[in-house]
Amino acid sequence: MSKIKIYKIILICLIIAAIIIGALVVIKYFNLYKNETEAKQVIANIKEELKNNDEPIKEINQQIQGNKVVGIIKIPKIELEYPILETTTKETLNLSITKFWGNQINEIGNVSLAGHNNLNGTMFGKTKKLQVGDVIELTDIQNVTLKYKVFKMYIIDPNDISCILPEQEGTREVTLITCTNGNKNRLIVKAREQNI
Amino acid sequence: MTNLKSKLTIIAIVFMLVLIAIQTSIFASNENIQILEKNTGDYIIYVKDNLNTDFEFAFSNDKLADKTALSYYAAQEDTNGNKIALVNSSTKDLFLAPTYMWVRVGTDYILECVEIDLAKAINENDLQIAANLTKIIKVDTTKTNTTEETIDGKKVTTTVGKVVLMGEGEYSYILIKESEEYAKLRDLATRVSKFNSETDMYTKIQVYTEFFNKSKELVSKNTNEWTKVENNEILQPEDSEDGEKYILWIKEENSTTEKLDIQFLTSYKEYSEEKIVETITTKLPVTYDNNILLIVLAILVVAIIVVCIRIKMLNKREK
Repeated sequence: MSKIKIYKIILICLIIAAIIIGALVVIKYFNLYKNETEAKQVIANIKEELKNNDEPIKEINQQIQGNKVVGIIKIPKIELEYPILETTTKETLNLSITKFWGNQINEIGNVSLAGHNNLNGTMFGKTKKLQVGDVIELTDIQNVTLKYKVFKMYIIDPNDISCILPEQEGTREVTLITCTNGNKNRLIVKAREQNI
Repeated sequence: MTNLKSKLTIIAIVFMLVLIAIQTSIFASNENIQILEKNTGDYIIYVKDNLNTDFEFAFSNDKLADKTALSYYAAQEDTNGNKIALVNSSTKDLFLAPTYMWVRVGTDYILECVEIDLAKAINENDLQIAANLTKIIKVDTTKTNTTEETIDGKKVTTTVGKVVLMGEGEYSYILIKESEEYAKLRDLATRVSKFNSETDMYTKIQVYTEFFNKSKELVSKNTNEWTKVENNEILQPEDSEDGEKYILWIKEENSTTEKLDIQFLTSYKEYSEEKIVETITTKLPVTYDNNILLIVLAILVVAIIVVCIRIKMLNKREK
């Protein structure tokens, strides 16, 4: 068999592999897009509900693929706005930001939220751009929105779960958790209610 | 006159007291003897503190009989070598009327006019039962029962004692919290448990008789309280506290036999409250975006380009 023929077979194999991998990449980003769209739709639904009701709504009643929404997170600086899902699993993390640990949103104590550090900048993909003093807004299921100010950012080992504890008892705190350095570390952003 | 009357009264009282004292010493109490009814129908009389003394004894139905005129018999020996007064089964009918006993060693009278009531004698079989009480029905009293419940955010653990029956019969029981009346039975059981080879036969029969009769008397008071045993376990009462004393009667019934036994229990209760602390056993979630697909795709594209260039070069060379 001539060298040209061998190279042609290798070329065909490479092209087939590239097509398969390319398809997987497309599927992945399509799913990301779909989830983003669904999350945005849920936000839009909540806003629409608020707009159409003169009286304040008693409870946000929205779900994403059967997962209950327990609040909304908004970070104006990095143009982030997502529904917060009630539980953290591999599946829910693909859908939106999730509540990892702690009390209900906006209750006294610390609530820890987890989100993917997506390469395309969605979810917590841009949290590394935050700085101390930046504002995080959390809306709870009673549609009460409180503002939190970032007071600490640091990187920890994934086994170090001390970040889920409140830094100051009797205050409202929120902790954002996302991966950094691949899966090796976690970037922690801690914020405390602005008025306190 | 008045003085004389007082003196006479005092003298009369003193005289009465002396008479009572004399009577007491003459009519010795039957506490000084223990009677055992043998299965053969004979009766053995043990005389307190005289189990090794060669005494003589006599019986009479006349309380005021002249002790010196009575017919005395020499003491015999039981199978353990104790000196005894034997009442033969053939002569026991003579004891239907009130009968009195005199015992002497040489010319010294040890007992005088002690009433003998054969009806109060303990039977050899009953004596055996009394000796084996607490050991007739096999039980394990060392087991415990532990329950856990959550009350007001606290884990409450309660461990209490229980009795496990080791046999396979039909059991029922009576469980009584010990009162003063029942404490006497426990005291007797303690005395029985301390018996050893040094304990004399008189003491054994005395305590066994008391233990057997007391147990019988108390259990007959509670005959309506028999409760069927479930799963071969008898649980300690829920309201019992650590260290309380209980008496447990157990009855084992088979088609042919019925056994009765007794256990003396001390309740055990261990109570602990533990605040439930949520323990975190997880790692922080995995939230990284795996870019391996993009890297592989890039490598493939580079490889395709390299292979294309190589093919082109080979084609040129061939031409």
